[in-house]
Parts: sequence; C-alpha cells; structure tokens
Amino acid sequence: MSAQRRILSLVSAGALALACAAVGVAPAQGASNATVSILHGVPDATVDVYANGKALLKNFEPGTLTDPQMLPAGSYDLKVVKAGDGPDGDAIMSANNVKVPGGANVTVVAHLTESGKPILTPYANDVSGLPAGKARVIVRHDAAAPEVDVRAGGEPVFTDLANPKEDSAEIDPGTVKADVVLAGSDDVVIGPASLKVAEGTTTIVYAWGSAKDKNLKLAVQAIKGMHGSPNSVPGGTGGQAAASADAGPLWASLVAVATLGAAVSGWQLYRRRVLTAR
Amino acid sequence: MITDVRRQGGWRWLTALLISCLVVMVAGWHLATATDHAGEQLVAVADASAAMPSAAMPSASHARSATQRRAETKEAGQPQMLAIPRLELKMPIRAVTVDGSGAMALPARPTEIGWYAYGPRPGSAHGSAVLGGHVDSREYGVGPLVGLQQVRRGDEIMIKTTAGAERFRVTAVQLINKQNLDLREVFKRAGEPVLRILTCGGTYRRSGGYQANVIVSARPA
Repeated sequence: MSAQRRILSLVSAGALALACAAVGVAPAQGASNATVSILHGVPDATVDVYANGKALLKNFEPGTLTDPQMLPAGSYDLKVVKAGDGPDGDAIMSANNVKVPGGANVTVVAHLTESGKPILTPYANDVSGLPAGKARVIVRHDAAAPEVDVRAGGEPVFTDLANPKEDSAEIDPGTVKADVVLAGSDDVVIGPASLKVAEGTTTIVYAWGSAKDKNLKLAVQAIKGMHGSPNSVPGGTGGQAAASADAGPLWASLVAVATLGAAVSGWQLYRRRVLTAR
Repeated sequence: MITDVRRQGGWRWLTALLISCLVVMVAGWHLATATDHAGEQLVAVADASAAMPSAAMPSASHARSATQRRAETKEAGQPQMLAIPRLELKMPIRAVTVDGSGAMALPARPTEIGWYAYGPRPGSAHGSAVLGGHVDSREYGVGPLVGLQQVRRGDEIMIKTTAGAERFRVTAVQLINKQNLDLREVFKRAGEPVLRILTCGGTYRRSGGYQANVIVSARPA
C-alpha cells in the first residue's frame, strides 16, 4: 500500500510554454503520444477547457470523465473557463506548462482544494503490470474536505489521505463495499458504494465535491490491460502417468539383482573351472 | 559323463553371467540417463511440425476469416464440456483462476479440466483461451488427460458452452520444458483466437513434480 505521489509539477508559464502556444495545441516534441483523460470535479460549473489556446472540451459537466484521448507528448497550458466564454475568457482555473511525457497515462482533474478553491491537478496513472489474479485500486482526494480514510467492508484501507494526494494498493478482484470517513473517525462522508474491481485493471476512485456544501461524491475511472499471467500450470501431482516416472528405483534394484547374478554365476564358473582342472 | 554335466553346467553359468552383465549395463545406463530426460528442451509429440525449434507457440496466420465472422455474430458462452472425439475424451470444464503461489489453479480431480476464467472464453474473437488439468493426482490417480499426447494435428476439439458448441482443429502438440514455456504467450488475451489445452508431461521428479507441460494448440474450425 505504498503511497504513490506522482503528481506532475505545475510550473508557471515560461519561455517554453509560450513557444508551444505559438505552434498550436500540439507541441513539436517528438512523435510519441500520451493517453490523457480529464475529470470534472468542481460542483455547479459547466465549463470549456482549452489546451494551448485551442478548445479541448466544450460544455463539460461536473462529474464527467472523458474517454482517454491520445495527445502528442509535450507540455500544455490548460485553461478552464465558464462555458461559452471563449479562449480569452476569465480563467476559473488554469495550469501552465503541464508536462505530458510520451507513453504516460495521465488524468487531469479539475477539482476543489481543501479550502474550496478550483484547481487543476494532473495525475500520472500507474498502469504498470500486475501479478495474475490481482487488481490495482488508487484513491485520490479531490474534494473540499479535510483528511479522510477510505474503508472497504468497514475496515480502513487507506488512511489520512489529504487533498490532492493519492494512495494505491493491489487487491484481489471482486466487488468492494467502500465508504469514506473523516480520518480516524467513523463519520461517513461518502458512501457506502459498491465498487466492482476487475482482475488486471487499475480502478481509480476520486472523492470530489465539497463537505461544506454536502455534495461529496465519488467518480470512478477504470483502466484495462495490466493483467499478468499465471507463473505455471502444475498439471499433475501424482507422477503415475509419467513416461519415465521415477523409474530410478526400479533400474537401481535391477542393477543390484543382476550384479548379484553376475557374481554368483562368475563364482560358479570359477569353481567349475577349478574342479575341471583337477 | 561327470565332466559333461560339469561342462553343461558351465555353459549355463556362463550364459547367466553374460545376461547378468548385460542387464547391469542396460539398467545402469537407464539409471544414469534418467535425470538427463528432464533437460529436454522441446520434443515433438505426435506431429513433426510441432518440433520447430521455436519454443514459442505456432504463429497465428490462418483462421482470420473465422475470427471476423465470429466477432460479428456472437459472444462466446461459458465453457462447460471438453470433447476430443477421436480419443473419446470427454471432461467437464470448471472455471478456475490463480492459486496462492501465482500458478493456474487446477481442479483437484484429474477427471475435470479448468478454464482460466480471467482470460478469454473458448470461441472469443481474440486471445488465448486456456484449459488446464492434472494428468494425475496422488489422491485420485491418473486422469483422461494422459491421452493428450496422442492428439494429432487436424484432430477436432469441441467445447460445449452455454451459448452452443465451439469447434477447433488442432494445429500443434508440444512437450515443452516448464522452464522454457512462454506463459505470457500461453495466456495472452489479445491477438488471433487460439485454444490451448495444457497438462503435465515429461519426467516426474519426487521433488518438483513434472518437468514439462504438454500443450495442444487449436484454431477455430
């Protein structure tokens, strides 16, 4: 259950970002692509999202998670405005020079800080391989709420999770009954929710909304394809069917018997020759 | 007269000596080479084309049209029964997953065969549907999978599923040392559809069990 805090750095606009903006949405930085999803976790605001000055999403509703998109690797200036305000509208939130490395799987979350301010947080999703028969669960605190514990079947699995941190664990696949409580307490703030976790997948659970406004919710993102293979197919336990099954003892006793036979016959021959010679 | 009897007896003892020596040599040779059997890399069973030096499974190049037709028409059902008509082999199929050590969890009885339920179903449009079973068991004795090495290329395999029957044709029968078995290839979930039936074979060691897997590969017919 090692905490994986791989939040990408949010750096303010520099010369590089300006250069990128000049060439449009796609920065000229090699041909490799990254997989990017966007989650809207700010209550009550329908928005448009711009990347390097170009529209990426229009009329984006709270609680929506986009399908993963392939974007060229590079750095992006992201800006979220009220729907219809256009690329030059007032930013509700923005993040400049967001680095999206080639081959990465990233989810950018528009959410509230603990104190309730809108912010953009890009997360690198752990899509590394899993052992056969296992699933990965990642929890992310993106709500205007204090530290929380995430429980499965009433037992705390992730503890003292603060906005905008994440934590992850490998678990057995199945249906998990999960809820979110204030850290160290039994005060349920979200759930319980029934969560289906499939083998070989990464399931990411986001807590979003605001505790003060009593609109805390969960959003779920599932990423497939991290399954592993069983490490063997142990197709027999008895050995009875083996072709040369442990024939060792048989051959060994045969050697012993035949050696004895050779000794006896050799002795007899020797005796007879001695007798004949007389 | 007495010397004749003695001479006759002498011949008998000489024969006995020669036979004994021969038996010692043969048995001794078997004893010496028994352990070497486990070192077998890849041995063709029943079919020469399987003896290709590539330890990997036979590559997928045919059955594309069948795949596409299948993908368009229906979803594969839950597998229930395996039948290999030529061998008169019939086994119920149980859905299995992974055991505590990370191995494919096989049914305890060698009269049943497991289907790896995290992977594709037999008849799926993509990937490798894997059946595996014990060839024998300390508790239950030898099972029908002992006949798997008698399967030949071209043999028909039928899988009864909850959505009807799926038919396959055997493309290869292989005996592959467990150390050299590409399990990622065996269990892959993408690519051309293939059915793989696995059990154990080769040398059995008291510690470590069977040293090889028998693998039958089949394509949708």
